[in-house]
Amino acid sequence: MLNAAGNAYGPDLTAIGERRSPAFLTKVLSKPSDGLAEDFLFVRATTSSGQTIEGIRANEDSFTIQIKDNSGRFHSFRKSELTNLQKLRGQTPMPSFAAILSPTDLQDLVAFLASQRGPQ
Amino acid sequence: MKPANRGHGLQPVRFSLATRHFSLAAFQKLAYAILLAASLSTLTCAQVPFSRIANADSEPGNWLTYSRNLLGHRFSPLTEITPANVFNLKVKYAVQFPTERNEVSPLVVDGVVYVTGPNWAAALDAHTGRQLWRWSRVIPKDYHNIGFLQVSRGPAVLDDKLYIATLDCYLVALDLKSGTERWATQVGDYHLGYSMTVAPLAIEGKIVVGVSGGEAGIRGFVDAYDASTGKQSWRFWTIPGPGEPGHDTWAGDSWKTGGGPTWVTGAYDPDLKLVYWGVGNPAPDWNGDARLGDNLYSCSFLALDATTGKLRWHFQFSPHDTHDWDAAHTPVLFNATINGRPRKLLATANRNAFYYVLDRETGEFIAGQPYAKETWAKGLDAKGRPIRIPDSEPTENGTLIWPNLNGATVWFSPSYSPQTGFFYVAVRQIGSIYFKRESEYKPGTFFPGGGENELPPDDAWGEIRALEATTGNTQWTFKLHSPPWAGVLSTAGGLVFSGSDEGNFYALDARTGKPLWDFQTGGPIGANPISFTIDGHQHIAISADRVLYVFALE
Repeated sequence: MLNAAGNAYGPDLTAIGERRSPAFLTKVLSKPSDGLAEDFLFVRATTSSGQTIEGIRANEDSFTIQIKDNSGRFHSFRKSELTNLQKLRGQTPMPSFAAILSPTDLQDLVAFLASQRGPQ
Repeated sequence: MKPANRGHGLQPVRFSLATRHFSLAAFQKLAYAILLAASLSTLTCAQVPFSRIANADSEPGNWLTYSRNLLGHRFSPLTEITPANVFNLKVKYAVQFPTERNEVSPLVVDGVVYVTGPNWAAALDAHTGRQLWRWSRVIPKDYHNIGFLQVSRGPAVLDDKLYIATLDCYLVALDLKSGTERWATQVGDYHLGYSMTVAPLAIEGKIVVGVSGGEAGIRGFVDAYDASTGKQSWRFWTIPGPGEPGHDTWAGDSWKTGGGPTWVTGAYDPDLKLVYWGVGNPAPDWNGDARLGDNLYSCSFLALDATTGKLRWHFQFSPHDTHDWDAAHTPVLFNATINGRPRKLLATANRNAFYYVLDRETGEFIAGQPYAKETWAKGLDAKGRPIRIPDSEPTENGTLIWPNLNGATVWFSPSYSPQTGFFYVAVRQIGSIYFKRESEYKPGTFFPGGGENELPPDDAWGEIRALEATTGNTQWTFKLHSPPWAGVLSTAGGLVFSGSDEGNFYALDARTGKPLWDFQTGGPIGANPISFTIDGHQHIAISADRVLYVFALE
């Protein structure tokens, strides 16, 4: 999400340039699993009806878990009603942009993100 | 906490003897008021002689002492709520407290719930939660809590008084009916780091208390006070002075600032007339260089003569501790046959991750084994002394050890069910990198000698474990999302209740550990559950952050 556009699957990028250096942004965009925040956990839940939900863990306690999927929608499950709950440590749904973008485009993206300083 | 006398709470009856025209009608009204007051007093504020506390099982609808009985069981004989109907447990009422993260274990006496917080106490109508009276004491502006939170773990009751231990280290006796202060005795000097968060323990004619301050380099003690007058009956110093047995376990003058706090309520055997009390860490916590030796009686259990306070025996769990593993636990006293011989036993799951069974008449070690992940000892020798793994001490660069400084369990209570023979304990599975630093003692300031960095939250978890009480063999384990801060209640109905740091209050099957019911309280639970009756029906109470919840079957 950037300036209220997009969805909030990952961190809000509106002021990402205030929080992260260009070097860090380059590293994360190239190899996303190297820059996961401590409270970021990618999970996969399978319900008793066979439905699988992947997303970011929004919250968790001993009996329930709340997951945000890639559309920004929240799902809340009782753990006892899941047939499987995988915590995909070190994984992230974000692809490596080094494999998608040319080096120049990647530099441009980093420069753009580093310039995002929030509402002026 | 709302002020008393608002809304539909019980109203105090007030009398004026300055009436000039004393008519017959007025006299009749006065007589009626006196009778009514006496009747209400009888109904809601009965006397609690020691015999009632000692025979707690004869009145399972009340909760008269910290652990319900003097033996430290936190077991309720009530049977109305069972595995078959616990799904129907609902909130009956909730009471807002004026302070956060409450750790209180309430008392319930004949329809009145008594609760405490940091320097306050209140009586509540058990039917509605409405306040009957409230008492508070100003926390001095220059008071500092050093190494712990500003909490109170509960009151004690004896005869016509309620007792609370205060942060500024006074033991205060309140009138059970009105909350009026009857006496206040200074137990320690808070300027030196002494403080009290403990729930006092009422025994025959005496109130026993312990002190906090292990991170301030106090010299700890266990005290007993005359319940009627507040006069000190005896004191046992947990760090022996010159000429006393155990003094030679401290190098040089290190005993003077040796710690040994006593901040968790003990247990009492009325037949043996022994008080059992746990002692906390030696100071400074994480740097033992200046206090070479075993550092008695830190990290020990004491058996003290209830009349004189003299030491009958001691057992040290972690000699020369450098991990802050206080023996800050309520001892569990029970009887069982070991190798064909009936024994009077004491059991504890210690902060150092080992479970111990001792003979409570002599302190003899009978059995012990780890009940949680630990990486500091290979095991226990024949006398129960830990066999340390080399290089498990804190260092300048850090040493990774399980469990962390809060231990595999800590102050919150375990539970013992005479029905299952299981010892239920809330377990913290978490490791930490321990550091050693230099530390200079200055009276009334933090004196740590190091610290720790906990492993990340996703590398830690919690459990409720049921251990066979006589051996420590695990019978079942229920996993929790994070290391807990709540105690355990077991019931004759076949349930185990406890809480999580994420706010879940839940019930497990006492025999299997199967989860049967849970409720999200909305606040971290760092307290001990209790159970009692109202109008003959079983209720369960737990404090969660700022709220006391009371549950009953719908």
